[in-house]
Amino acid sequence: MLKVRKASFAYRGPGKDVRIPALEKISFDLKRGDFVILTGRTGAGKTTLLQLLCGLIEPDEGTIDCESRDLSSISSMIFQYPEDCFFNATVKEEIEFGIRRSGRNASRRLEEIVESIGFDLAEFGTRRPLSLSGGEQRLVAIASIIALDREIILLDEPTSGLDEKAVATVRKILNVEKSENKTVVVATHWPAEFMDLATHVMNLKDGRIDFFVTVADYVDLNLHRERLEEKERYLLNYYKLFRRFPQSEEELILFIRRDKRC
Amino acid sequence: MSRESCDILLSLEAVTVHADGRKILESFSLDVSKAESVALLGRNGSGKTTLLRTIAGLKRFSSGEITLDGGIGMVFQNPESALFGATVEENLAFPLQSLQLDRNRIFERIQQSARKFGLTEILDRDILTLSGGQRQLVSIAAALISEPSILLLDEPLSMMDRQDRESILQTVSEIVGSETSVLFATNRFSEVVGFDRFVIIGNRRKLFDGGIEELKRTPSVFYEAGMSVPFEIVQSC
Repeated sequence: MLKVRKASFAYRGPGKDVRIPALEKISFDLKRGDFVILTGRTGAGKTTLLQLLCGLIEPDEGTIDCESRDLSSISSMIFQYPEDCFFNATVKEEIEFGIRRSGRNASRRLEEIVESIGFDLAEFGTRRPLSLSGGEQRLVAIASIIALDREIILLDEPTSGLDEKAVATVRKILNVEKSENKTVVVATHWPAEFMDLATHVMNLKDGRIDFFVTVADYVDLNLHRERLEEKERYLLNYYKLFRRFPQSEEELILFIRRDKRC
Repeated sequence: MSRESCDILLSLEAVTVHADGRKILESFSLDVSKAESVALLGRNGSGKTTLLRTIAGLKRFSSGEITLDGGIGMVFQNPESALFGATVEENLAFPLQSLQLDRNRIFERIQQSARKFGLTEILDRDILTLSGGQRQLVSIAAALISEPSILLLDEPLSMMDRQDRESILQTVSEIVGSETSVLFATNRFSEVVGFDRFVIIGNRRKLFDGGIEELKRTPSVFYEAGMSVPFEIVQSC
């Protein structure tokens, strides 16, 4: 569905004609229903790639094509700190804005979305977005983008600064999008948080694709081997053994305790 | 003077803070000693950021008392809030300007800090061309460059990759322990496992204040705070 061919992008640097390359000749395809975890060191080009995929910036060279349609009308991006972009007076209006643009049944959809982030419309609907806590603001910001109902959803470190419960809510939202066969790309430094939802993992290194593989290959090829968090290591070992991810945290902890023989 | 009272760097006595007509913190007391590392835990919305901003003098408190013996370096959750100069170098130079150092000394300090935080290559880059993680690195370097006596960190590593995260944690642990104290708010327990003390906020109050062993013995405090017990504690035998 989405074809990226030899796409390059560079930022303007200090001084005249200085260019700082962010992405160099990147090529790959995405299909409907793909859920990609995008990893890579800070400055590797993750954010730039997401911005290209949502049509916010255009490649200096190469092409990005999605069935000849306008990228900015079929994809939406959730930025780092999306809560910086609130522009409505209340939580309800913030979310309604996206719904109106999506053309879906407004009142039913509003309830659905507000419920998906675990908010009570009566309590939160009239609050000023900026009066919410950081985590709550993030969830509202994510919900307002999800409300646009685009085919391609791009998220840039959506769980940074979120507590465990808010992370679980983000996962729940993305699970719904996945079940609707949307294409999802999540840039993150915490791949384990989305591993069970993902179909693929793409790693960027110095502006190039280091690897782009299925989750099964990611585990089998030990592409994760460097510097794993302990939890991540167990999660991937679990997958290696059972060819599926644990269905709950408890299941994983049981597995770890068995491994440690305690 | 008793040893205890002369070692205390920061002291909050029954501090109450309101925001938007709601009470965020109620009668909150906390002492931080010199060179001590304190982790601040609690759900989103529990008041961690409010507490740090109040200590930093960025937010008014309605009652109570805060005393601080020394300077503060603060790193915000969103690095955008603290970065303003055009280039990385300007951001590092800014905190030094009020210290009345001569030019050479300022230049030296910037070079030193850039080396420590791996910023040498990007000193003349415009902040706007940096990634989120790089911006966080710059704000930590800027917060530490004036050698504050306490460092207030609000989710400072949230956008960093694992290598940078580990090296920053290493740097923080070297600085703390020698001269600086740190108050580190995070949702990721793995970042603060080795800290001296843990403070858990919930229901506007301090629910726990103690070391790791005590925390392991009383995991129920996490439920009380509306959190789940961190992975690092649950999976230990």
